[in-house]
Amino acid sequence: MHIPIAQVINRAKIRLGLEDTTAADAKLEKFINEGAMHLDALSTYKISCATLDIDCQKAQLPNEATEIICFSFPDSSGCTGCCSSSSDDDSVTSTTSCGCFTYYVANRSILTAFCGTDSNTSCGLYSAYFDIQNGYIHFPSSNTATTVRVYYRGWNVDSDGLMLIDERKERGLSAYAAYEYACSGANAKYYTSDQKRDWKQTWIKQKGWIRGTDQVEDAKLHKDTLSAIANAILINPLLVLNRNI
Amino acid sequence: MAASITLPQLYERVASLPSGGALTNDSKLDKGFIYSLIHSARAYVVSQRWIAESKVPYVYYQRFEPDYRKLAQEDSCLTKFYDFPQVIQLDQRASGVGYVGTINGVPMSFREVTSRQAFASMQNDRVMKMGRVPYILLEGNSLEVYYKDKIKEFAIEAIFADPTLVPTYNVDYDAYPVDIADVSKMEAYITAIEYKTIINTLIDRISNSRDEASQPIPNR
Repeated sequence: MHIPIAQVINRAKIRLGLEDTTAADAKLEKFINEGAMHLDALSTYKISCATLDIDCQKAQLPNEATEIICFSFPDSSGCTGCCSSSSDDDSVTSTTSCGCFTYYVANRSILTAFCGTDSNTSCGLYSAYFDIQNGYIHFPSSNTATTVRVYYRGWNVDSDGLMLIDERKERGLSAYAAYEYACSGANAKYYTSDQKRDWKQTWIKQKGWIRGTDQVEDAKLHKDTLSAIANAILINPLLVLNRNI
Repeated sequence: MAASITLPQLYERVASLPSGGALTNDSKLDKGFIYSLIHSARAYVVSQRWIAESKVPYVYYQRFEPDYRKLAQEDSCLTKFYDFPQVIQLDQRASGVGYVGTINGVPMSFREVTSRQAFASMQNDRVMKMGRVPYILLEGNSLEVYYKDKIKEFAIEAIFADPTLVPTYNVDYDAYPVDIADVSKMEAYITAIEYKTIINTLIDRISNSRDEASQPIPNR
């Protein structure tokens, strides 16, 4: 269950004895967001998509995107002559007059190996590459699309760009924020070494626990997939027919 | 109802200390001076309680709602309130500002920033910069509220350096914002620190443009 970051701020203020003032709220919010990003657990990231406008063959990626998974061109994007007529099918059908290729690769050397070192126009795919630079995705000049739907892996954030926090992370993140606050500037004199050490250890242990439970939950979620893969290996006909393999 | 004491009653207690509890007219101490002693002793006691307990009893806080003056606004991104009483500083972590926020409904508190420089540094931070949550900045006798919308009314509860400057405070009838149990601490502080020097210092009664504490020669 997601909780607002203000709840974690309150928890940290209880640790620090600062419930009666809001002077530390901004700093604690920063520390909590920072801690949530540094958890690096599976739940720190999410798969999302966004429809981006293409201008000068480039589109700005969302700020929270960390990895591009795939992209496609919606029907109405100006991909002339190649888009499916089905209203709910966003896939692109490749034709010789298509302004958008079916496949794009991020590595030009792969295309060169596939199509040859010279511009082999019969290959049809020699310019089907894309680049990602400085938060923009760049398409070849032959691309005529005006919008692109990008599927990406990114930070699990809310509409304000702050990390979404699960309730089970409250204890660890509040300890992290309290530790960072108590160690910053001249605040150290207000808190004992035992307190700071306790908060640090709580954060470290909670971080390990959260990462572990995320892995367990992910395995439960995908156990059917893993099971199918295992079964496929077990019932491979080659293995069955050729005992020498 | 908790015991309370008004400022005039406190004045009688403090002003009579040098005379062993008897308040007389024959005193070199001005009323305003005694009041300032009381305010500073109260601030001292509050800061000591904060240092010891990280908490100050609610009785020390005073609440009021500043007036909004439309013609006196300078900028579009902030609302400025003038004639704001000075708030005491407890320590580096906190000032005497308690709740600052909405008046009606579920309380939503604003955040306090300690200085203009600190606030300017916060604008370089994606998480801390202004916009999502209202921020207040106390500077001298004015208070600025920063938010994406104009905030024209809010309530504030704070420990003010001079409680009598709060517009809603009536000196004669309202209880002085102090814990009754701390009054003796205030008296002890005034007696040991303030009165000790004051009482032993002679007054310069000779008008000769010189600072001297010698008494005039009595007429024989």
